Amino acid sequence: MEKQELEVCIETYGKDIYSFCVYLTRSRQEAEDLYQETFLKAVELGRKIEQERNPKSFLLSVTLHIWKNRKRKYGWRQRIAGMQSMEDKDSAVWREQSGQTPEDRVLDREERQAVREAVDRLPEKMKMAVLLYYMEEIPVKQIAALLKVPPGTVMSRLHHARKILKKELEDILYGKKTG
Amino acid sequence: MERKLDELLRHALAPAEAPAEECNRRILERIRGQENRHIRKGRFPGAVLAASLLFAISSLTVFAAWRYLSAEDVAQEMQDDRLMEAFSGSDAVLVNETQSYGGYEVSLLGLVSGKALSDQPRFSGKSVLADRSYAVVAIRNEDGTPMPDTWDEGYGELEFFVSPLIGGYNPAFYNAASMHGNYTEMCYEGVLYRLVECDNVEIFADHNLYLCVLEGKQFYDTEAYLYDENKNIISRNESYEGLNALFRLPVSREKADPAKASDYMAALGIREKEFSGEKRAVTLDESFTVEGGNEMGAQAAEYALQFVGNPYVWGGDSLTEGADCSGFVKAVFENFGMTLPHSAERQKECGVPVEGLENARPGDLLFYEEPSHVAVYIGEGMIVHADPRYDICVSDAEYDEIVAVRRIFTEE
Repeated sequence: MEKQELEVCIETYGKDIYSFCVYLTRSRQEAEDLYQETFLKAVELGRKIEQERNPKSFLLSVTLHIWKNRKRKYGWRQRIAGMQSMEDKDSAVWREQSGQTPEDRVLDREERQAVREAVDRLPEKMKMAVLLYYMEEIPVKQIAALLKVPPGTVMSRLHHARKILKKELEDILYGKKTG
Repeated sequence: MERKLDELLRHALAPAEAPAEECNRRILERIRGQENRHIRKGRFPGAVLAASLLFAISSLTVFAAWRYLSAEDVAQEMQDDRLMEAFSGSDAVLVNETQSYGGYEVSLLGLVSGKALSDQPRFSGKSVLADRSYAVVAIRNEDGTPMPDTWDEGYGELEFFVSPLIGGYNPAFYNAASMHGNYTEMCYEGVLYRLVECDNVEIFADHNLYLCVLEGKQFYDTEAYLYDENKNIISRNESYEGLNALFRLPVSREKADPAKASDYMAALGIREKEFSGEKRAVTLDESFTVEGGNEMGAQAAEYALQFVGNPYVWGGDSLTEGADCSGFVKAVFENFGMTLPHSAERQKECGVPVEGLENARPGDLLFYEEPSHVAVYIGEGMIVHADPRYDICVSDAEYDEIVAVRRIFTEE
């Protein structure tokens, strides 16, 4: 990726990538770090972005790659520490910027928060598939390529995730308000 | 149900988290850092850059501020560590305001004022100008074509005048040019960055403070801005064609020091009437001829007069394309086989001294100070010179105090 392309990519996909990083890391600080690393790595890889049919999924693959390595490196301790803080601090991370988005008209703040938390509670593999599919709107075939699994596996993860979410979000889906 | 869940998930998970500008800026900074390690000086192939920027612009309305270097970065690039610290300190005013006029997009990035803030002190005569204001602006073409870099051919053709202005003081007389101004510029990724400095303007913070950015001029242009003497307000002339950006400098009024300000103005001693132009640009009678003096001197004066009306260009030495004061003198005498240095200060050491204006003959050089200036005497108390304000023109020799007279052609 050339530097000029980088700037265009930041303009175009910055929000998509950053949002993904926030969900992945559950911490704003780590998200910023992962986000920056993604673009730096993408430049380092030096691949021409126009050769990439989908620059977003290329960038996401870089994000995932870095994230996987990092998790391996820091191991479980870091993750458990991260989990503990998630309830109070990091769910606030999501809350602070939700407010003026067009989604407000469809969902109220609490409902959106409930959905996000339910997604966050999903097992890692399902969560990844859900985020790529619903947040980033990447087609199943490409998700399969990104996660290096067969498309059938992605579909089955999405299916299971939906089943869990349907149960968890019953109240919202059937029109009953939460909390 | 299935569809409803899909919808719910899409809405709730829509990417709503925008990275902080600072975060994006840091990516570029880190890449710049890596680059410096590998490549000495990055330079983009112009065409590629233009094309990709155009692509970028089409989807954008404004060039996001994070894509510019910060004032701090600019000071660093200019290898001024002290100034870099000043811009990162709490006294710096970071503005990041953008204005678009005349096909340019100008951003004021920052301002900092104070004593001994730079590694590169400026002098007035022998005394150091210690108390200074520094401002950084970024200028880019609105259509995304890169600005010419200092080594590009088109570089000399573009001129900008960037200067702080003080409400209540006529900008035609009080601007960076009269307030011991100086500037440095550089180009980075097609954006021109200019660091302009002059004597501290924050002491005038009880007035409105401005920063003007003009294109096509080396000096202030009275056409570009409106000055309301009574209200002490300076504003843009909306009907001006071309770039005439004007930023308000958000300096706290508490920084004003009226006593110091009035001392400063007294010391600056600008005699506005003498700037009025009547004395500075004289129209010669058609009957005027250079008389007296030695033949070569008279010829030089006569020759110099042909170029009246041609432009003043700082650093230039072309009689037709533009010259500054010493460049003008240099070019005139070159025609007669005399090689003079391109500096008024050093020209003062050429030839032989002459005692006073009363003994001056056509072709002699008259020298002035504050600012340092040189002119060619043409007789009858008049000079021809390259004047920053009036281009190459004829003026009254005594428009300012003459500090030296030198004769270049000594043989009778």
